[in-house]
Amino acid sequence: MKTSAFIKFILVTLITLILIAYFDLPIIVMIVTAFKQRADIFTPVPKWIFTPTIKNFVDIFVGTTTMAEGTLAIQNSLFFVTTSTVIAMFIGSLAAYGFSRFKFFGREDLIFFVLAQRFMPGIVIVLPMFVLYSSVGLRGTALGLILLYINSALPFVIWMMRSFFDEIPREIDEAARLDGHSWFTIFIKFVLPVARNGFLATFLFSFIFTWGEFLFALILTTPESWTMPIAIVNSRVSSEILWGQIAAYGVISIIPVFIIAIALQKYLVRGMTLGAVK
Amino acid sequence: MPGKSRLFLFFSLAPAFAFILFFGIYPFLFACFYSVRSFYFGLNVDNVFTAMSNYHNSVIDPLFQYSMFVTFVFVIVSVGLQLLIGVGAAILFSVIKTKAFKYIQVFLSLPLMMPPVVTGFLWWYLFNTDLGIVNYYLSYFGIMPRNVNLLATPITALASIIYADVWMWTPFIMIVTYAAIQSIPNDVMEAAIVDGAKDRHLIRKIILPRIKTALLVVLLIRVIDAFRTYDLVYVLTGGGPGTSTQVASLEIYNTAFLKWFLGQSFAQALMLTAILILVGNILIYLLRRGV
Amino acid sequence: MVKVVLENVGKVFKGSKKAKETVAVKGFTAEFPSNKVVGILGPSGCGKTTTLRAIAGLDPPSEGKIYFEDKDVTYLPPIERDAALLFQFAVVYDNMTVFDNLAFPLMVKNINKEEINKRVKETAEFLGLSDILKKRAKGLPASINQKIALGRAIIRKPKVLLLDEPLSSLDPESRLYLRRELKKVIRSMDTTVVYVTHDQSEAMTLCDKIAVMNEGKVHQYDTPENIYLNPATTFVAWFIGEPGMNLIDCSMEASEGKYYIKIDGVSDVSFEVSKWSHALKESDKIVLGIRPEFITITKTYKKNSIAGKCLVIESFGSFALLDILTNCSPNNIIKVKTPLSDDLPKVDGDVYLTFPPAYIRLFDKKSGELRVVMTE
Repeated sequence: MKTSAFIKFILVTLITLILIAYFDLPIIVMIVTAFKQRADIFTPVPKWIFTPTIKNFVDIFVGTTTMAEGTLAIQNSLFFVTTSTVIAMFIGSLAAYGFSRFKFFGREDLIFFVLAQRFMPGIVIVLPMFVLYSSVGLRGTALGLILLYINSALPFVIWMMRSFFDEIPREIDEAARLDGHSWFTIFIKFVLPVARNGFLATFLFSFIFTWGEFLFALILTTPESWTMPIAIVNSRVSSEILWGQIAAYGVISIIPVFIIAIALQKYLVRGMTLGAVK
Repeated sequence: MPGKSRLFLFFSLAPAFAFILFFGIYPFLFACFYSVRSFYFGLNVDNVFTAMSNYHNSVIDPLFQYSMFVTFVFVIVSVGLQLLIGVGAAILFSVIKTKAFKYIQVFLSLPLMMPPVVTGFLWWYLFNTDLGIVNYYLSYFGIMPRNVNLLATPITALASIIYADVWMWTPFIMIVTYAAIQSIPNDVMEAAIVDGAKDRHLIRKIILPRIKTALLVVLLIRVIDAFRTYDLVYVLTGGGPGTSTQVASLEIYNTAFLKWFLGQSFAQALMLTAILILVGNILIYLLRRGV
Repeated sequence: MVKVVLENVGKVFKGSKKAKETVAVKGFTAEFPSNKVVGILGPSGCGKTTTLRAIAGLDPPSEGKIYFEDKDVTYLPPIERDAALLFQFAVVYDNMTVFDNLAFPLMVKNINKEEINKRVKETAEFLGLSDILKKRAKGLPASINQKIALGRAIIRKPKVLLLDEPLSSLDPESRLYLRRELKKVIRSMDTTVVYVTHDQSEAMTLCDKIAVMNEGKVHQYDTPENIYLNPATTFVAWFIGEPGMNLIDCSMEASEGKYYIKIDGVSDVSFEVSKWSHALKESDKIVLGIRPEFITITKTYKKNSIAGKCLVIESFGSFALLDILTNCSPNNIIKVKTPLSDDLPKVDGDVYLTFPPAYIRLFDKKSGELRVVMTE
């Protein structure tokens, strides 16, 4: 008994360490690189011990180098992603509530149609939008990108929120109906507060997905409206590759996401499967 | 349904569907319409109806054929490996009955929280001949000489992309599978253990049949996302060396923005969509049949 | 086939941030004779299921030893014990057919196909499952599910059969039906059966011996008759019987070299206990126990009887249950169970209760232990 428990302990520890090393070591390398001076990066032998510096981060914001767009790109990303996610959450939750509470002809097909949007290749959507935006002058504007981001977040929001609403007893709605409240009041005042954890989780996951979006931004933005992923990619074309600053960029872009991920452990699985697996 | 409820239902769905119809259906119809025309963007070429020639030219275009081939190889190998490692690890953790996974799962989930572009850059850096730790440690342990550029030969470039994709997405499959296994009622596992089931019986007769649905959902999401992969490849190899890792999305992008031949790129994009719909429907059929 | 021996078995669930440390079972020592049915009876949360799971090998005990015959199985995994377990909520493998369910315990032992076929057929016939063998074991009624689970348990002829409240999740009709089936199965097998239940009628009818548990402790391990007639503690006295014993505070008094038990709050009732006075002398306080069905009730005064007023009469067809208000403590209601007759008192009518001395049991109030059985 004692020996087998010990063997199990060793085995578990070993597998756990291997997995963590495999999946987290690259990220650690990136974080370490972000704090390295130029001389410590360009060494043939990877340096694990060095004097840390925050110069790379300062450069992004102060913009003394070719990455002057840094601050702007971070601002853009925050603005686009927050605005579009907030709007998508509102519109999507409302639709999810309708789907969850009303039975009507063709409901299942409609829900499925929503899901199908999630699986449409981005390139099919973005090419026609490129043509349209070019002709109406929306290319490179915040509005154009935000509208598209709202649309691509909607299927996720609707499916997630529907799975949360389905868990809320209908008795809550019915009791409020009997008290004479309108459906919209019930939704805002009674149902959303009950679903607030799910709402928050959906919001944050939606935020993560849009935060990392690349293809739409690549095709539809101009330097003034570059988002962070585009700024990172475009920093490569300069004469010398600024590894340190790219790493610093990477660190900045993962910080909000990691904080969210740790806070949302409970909803991780659900968020990743559109509510299909709890 | 009373009138007021009907009205509310309409207004609850209307905004979302306005978006979906405009940004989902409009581009689709637009693409359909121009995919049968000689539509060049910003170039002085007659925009006329050309029937199926855009489709035909794409299908016989060796570059497009090759991009489809690479895409399929990428999807099958990458998702296959992810399933193998992810499901394997999830089952292992469940069978040795340890709570450890619960504590490490957030650390395992970090790769899939990274913006794909950052992931691409990270691996580009790690695979760098002079500075990357991959080359350094591979040569350190004598597996490969230091100066081999993994991203510069067709096979190793594809392998590197797959490696990065596996790194990024295996945790997803692992975490979802683990959650699905944990949702199997404890009674059932215990009954099987008391009935004398050994680990292999538990896995084959109890666990696998009960996580099939979750696995199919995961597979559906992964396969379709893998078919659309763009950012990772764009950053890591840009489709190179040559066009050896030019996946379908990249090829379509190039047709549109290098040749500015949007008509043909629509045709290609719609063919990719058709394949996705086909593959997706097969998986959804299996799901609904409750395999 | 084997006797099961528990030696000072205890189980402590370690505390965590959310839950306090709990002692589920302590000092369980008993020998379950081979080929007999032993019941573990007690209210929910008394540790009976924990004990059963320890015997099954699902959760080893935190202290003590478990033997099958002479073999120490305390830390053996379930697979090496040859014990079968039936859960409260029937477990069927609903992704398989009924046939595959029954075959599962044999299949995992790599028994050849013909033998499996033969034994599945036998078992199915025995339990009346032959008609649905080819069906998928999904969406079947709970009683059928429990039968399938039972079939899976007996098909491999286990040395020990463990039953964890197998009937409690069924509706009353199928419960009676399955109880009969269960009895048939148990009698036909050479196996030691441990039956966990909170339902005393199940325990009384099915078991050869019963261990009564409360709060992790075994209060009595004895035959059903003895548990009924001579409960070892006030808990057993109260828990067994429908309703349980009346427990009345009383004290011992000496007068003229003889000893008497006097009921507190009632002046003129006493029972001579000189013969057992040595057993009662250490007790500070004594509790008198008597079953409701042994009390004689009259409408006229009798010598040495307790006066009371009839509060409630519940008729159960063949008998009636009466609540009598008296001056007794700690509970001034005494329950009386008596056959239905025209002579029953009326509600609010005055009645007199006589306790036949042969049915009186005396307990120590502090420890709750049985001190005197007045027949001896």
